[in-house]
Amino acid sequence: MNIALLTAAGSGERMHQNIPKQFMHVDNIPIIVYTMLAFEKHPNIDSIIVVCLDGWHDILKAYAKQFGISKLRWVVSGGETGQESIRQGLLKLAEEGSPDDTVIIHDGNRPMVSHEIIADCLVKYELYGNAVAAIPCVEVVFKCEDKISSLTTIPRDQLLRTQTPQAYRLSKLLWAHDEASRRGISNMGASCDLLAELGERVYFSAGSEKNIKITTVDDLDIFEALLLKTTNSERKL
Amino acid sequence: MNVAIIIAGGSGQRMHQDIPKQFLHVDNKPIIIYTLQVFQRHPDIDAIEVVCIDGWHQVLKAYAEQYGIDKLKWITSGGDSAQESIRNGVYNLRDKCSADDIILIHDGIRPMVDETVISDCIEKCKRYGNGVTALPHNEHVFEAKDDISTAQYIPRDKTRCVQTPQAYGYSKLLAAYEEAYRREIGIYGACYANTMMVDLGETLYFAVGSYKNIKITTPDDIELFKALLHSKKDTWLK
Repeated sequence: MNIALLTAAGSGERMHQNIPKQFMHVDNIPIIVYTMLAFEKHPNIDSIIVVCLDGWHDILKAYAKQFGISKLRWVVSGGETGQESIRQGLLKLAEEGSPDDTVIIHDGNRPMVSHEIIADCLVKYELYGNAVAAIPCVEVVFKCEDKISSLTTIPRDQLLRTQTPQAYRLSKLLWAHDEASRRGISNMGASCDLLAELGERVYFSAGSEKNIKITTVDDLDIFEALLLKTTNSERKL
Repeated sequence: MNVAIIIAGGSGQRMHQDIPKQFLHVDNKPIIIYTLQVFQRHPDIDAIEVVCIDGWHQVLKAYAEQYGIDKLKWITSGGDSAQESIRNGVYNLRDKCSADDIILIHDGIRPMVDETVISDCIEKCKRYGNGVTALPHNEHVFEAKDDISTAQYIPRDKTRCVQTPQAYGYSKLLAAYEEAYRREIGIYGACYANTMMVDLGETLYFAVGSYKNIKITTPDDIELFKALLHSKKDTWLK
């Protein structure tokens, strides 16, 4: 079974808003619903679990019903950190799923994830045992030691920027999180980071510049613009 | 002190939606916030209590903070009917309001209430002891003989449509609810504070209403609300 694990436990503090960013509305639809719809519509996704901020579970369930997210099966509370939130979701799946299930971890505030990105993530997972959406680094990256200047560039053809979705076997993720608590590794919000830290090789799948993570008010504007473009091209058809 | 009790305890069942209608978004803002903003901006309103459907309290709090509704002081759980919700709101104010405070009861799903409507309601309550927003009928009202026919109309200059807001003195309102629930008068079905008051023998006084002060109960009403939000009075109209 392929299970999408969506993280939506953030409180929006970094964005300095009172409404958590995953629940902000664009075109009268909350961001988390756009994200859930992408997985709802994907034929290879069987069910969805959302790790959700406390106090917002009822609203999430109501939204899911309203917008026809029939694959949503579990809503669980988050933890103190990103790593801990993912762990809460995994613990639920340890009870409800089977060790061989595929878990596709995805940020709830990446609503522009496309059909192709999800598909390629699953394909690379089949091939290599895990998959992490990634895109090339187009900017020149400097290493900066004193905050105002640098002498050193890092060759960008050696760099990739990782995003979500990321696909792993449930048993592997459970192992990684157990191992992390045993070794005192915390605050690894990104699962690929955690796996690499534990010495596991991770494999890349297709990402996209459009697969933005909404963390600032500017990002909301970019998302609106991307949405508008999508609607316009649909209208032409 | 003038306190607004905003009733938002409904589950949206009649509208056949999964999101309670007071939390449906129009122009990316929930309907209840439009309503709260009117009371927030009104200079004569000192505090706001919202009677809210369970499970949505945290959400309401976040929205209120986001939109700067700092007059919102209390969020109370709703009941199974409008009357139970109002009663919960009134009882919750027992140790917070004094006898001569004016309480305005208003439906959370009437976001088009305007400042003059609120002002006149308070004014009438000060003068007469209560004030209920009311409008003359445009339509002819007939009493149905059965499901298909009528032989009786009510002269329309003799009737008024009553909406919200409705203002009552706190001691009177509290005593009325205690009596109504003790004697089981005016609390069932479609009863509301106004009908209950009359059932208890009170005389009500009309305050100025507005045809734009619609109650959003169907998807059609949402379209109406959107249209009203975006409409401007033509400059040539006198």
